[in-house]
Amino acid sequence: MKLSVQNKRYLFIIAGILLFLPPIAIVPRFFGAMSMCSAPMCMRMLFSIKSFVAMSNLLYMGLIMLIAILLISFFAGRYWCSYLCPFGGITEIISKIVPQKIKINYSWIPSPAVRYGYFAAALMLPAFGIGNICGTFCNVTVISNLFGSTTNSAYLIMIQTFSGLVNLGMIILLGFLAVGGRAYCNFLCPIGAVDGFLNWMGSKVKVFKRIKVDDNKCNGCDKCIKECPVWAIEKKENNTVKINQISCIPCKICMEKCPEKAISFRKD
Amino acid sequence: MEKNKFILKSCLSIIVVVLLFITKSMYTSPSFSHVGGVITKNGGTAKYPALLGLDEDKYVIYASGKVESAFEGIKIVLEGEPEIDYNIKSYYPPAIDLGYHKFYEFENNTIKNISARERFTLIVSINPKVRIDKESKYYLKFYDLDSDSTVLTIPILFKELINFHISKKVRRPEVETRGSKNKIINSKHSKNQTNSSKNCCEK
Repeated sequence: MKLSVQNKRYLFIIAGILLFLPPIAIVPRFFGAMSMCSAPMCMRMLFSIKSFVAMSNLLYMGLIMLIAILLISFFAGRYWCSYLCPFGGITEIISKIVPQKIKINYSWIPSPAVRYGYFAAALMLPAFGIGNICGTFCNVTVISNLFGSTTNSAYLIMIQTFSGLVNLGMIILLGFLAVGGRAYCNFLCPIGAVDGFLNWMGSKVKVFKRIKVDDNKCNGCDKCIKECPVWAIEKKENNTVKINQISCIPCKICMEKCPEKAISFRKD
Repeated sequence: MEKNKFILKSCLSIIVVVLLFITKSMYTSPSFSHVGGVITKNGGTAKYPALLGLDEDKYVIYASGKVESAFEGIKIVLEGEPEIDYNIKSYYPPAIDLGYHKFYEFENNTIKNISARERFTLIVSINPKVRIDKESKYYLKFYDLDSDSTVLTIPILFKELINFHISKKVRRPEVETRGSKNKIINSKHSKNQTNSSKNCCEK
């Protein structure tokens, strides 16, 4: 039985769920943790400028994973985001079963502005004592708690706190009810912000493969724009489209949907 | 025209997300606190006390940390007057045992067979039958069942918190605990704290 590219991708995402989320959490268990929202696994608290050194010591596995993700993004593309990250993957999968009528289309909001504006705030303001990255608009904690609560009610108690409910509401609005299921990833994920930038840098290197459009084949039908879960495809003046590499996760949905086969994963 | 619209949308978007971040960060939840500590045979170290507001139906304390050496049994008790109902749950052990990492067991508010340098995570739910409406001090105490000594003490302070005002945000005093003696170290007090609350952690 031959699987489509998307079905293979969903299998990888399911593997990501088993690898990183409770109650299985194969990877965190090696280090005495049960989720990515825990020492030494958390990748987000590494963005604390004031306590980076202390955090790196405490969250050493998170640091190793983050470096690996960023290197892969630079050389090969944002495969962590599209193939393995269970936090974005689960919202994408669940949004597929939500009726289109009730979904919210966020594509009119310029996502790089939001993503990097929020990233700058989350990076700089805690250094001045304003706010804390830990648990603030964090999808890792809420999705870990949702999965953990299937077997342990301690996780459910955490969801019921004020912060837990805010994060849950955020995941519902920006994940399950978003067209494409990836609005959180596109707007608020700090890891996505950094690896989007590295992906863009890597796209400037001609020998690295990225999703690209052949202008000669593109007929401007916009099917790819409608299907892209991270609205990374833009219309150009000559009516063809181009891929915005700062947002593109190589999910390859556009490649499958393009009737002219104008989109491919290739070198320059 | 299109370019100007795009720039305007981008600027507005940045302002909105920054304001959202600042608004969320200005809010101090009166019913939730995250505390950390290290359990040692000498009485342990809690970095700072749990700071909770008054007049709430329910409180949740997320207590995490690690143990320096192995213990067969650590009993956790919430002490203070008047007595309040509480319930402690743990993320560990996991429901499904994959066999390659031995987590501690948790039963009847007791951590059992925890290895050296292992991390613990406890969720303490406090459900006061009578609302706590005045400043109070409790202690979350960890007792080594072998030696009957205290291996960690985390103070829990109930005080009036003022939300949505960053200049009045109550800063938590740092507390170093050695067994049953608590003293404030490197305390950072806001201008609005009263004298009684400044000394709240000193015995």
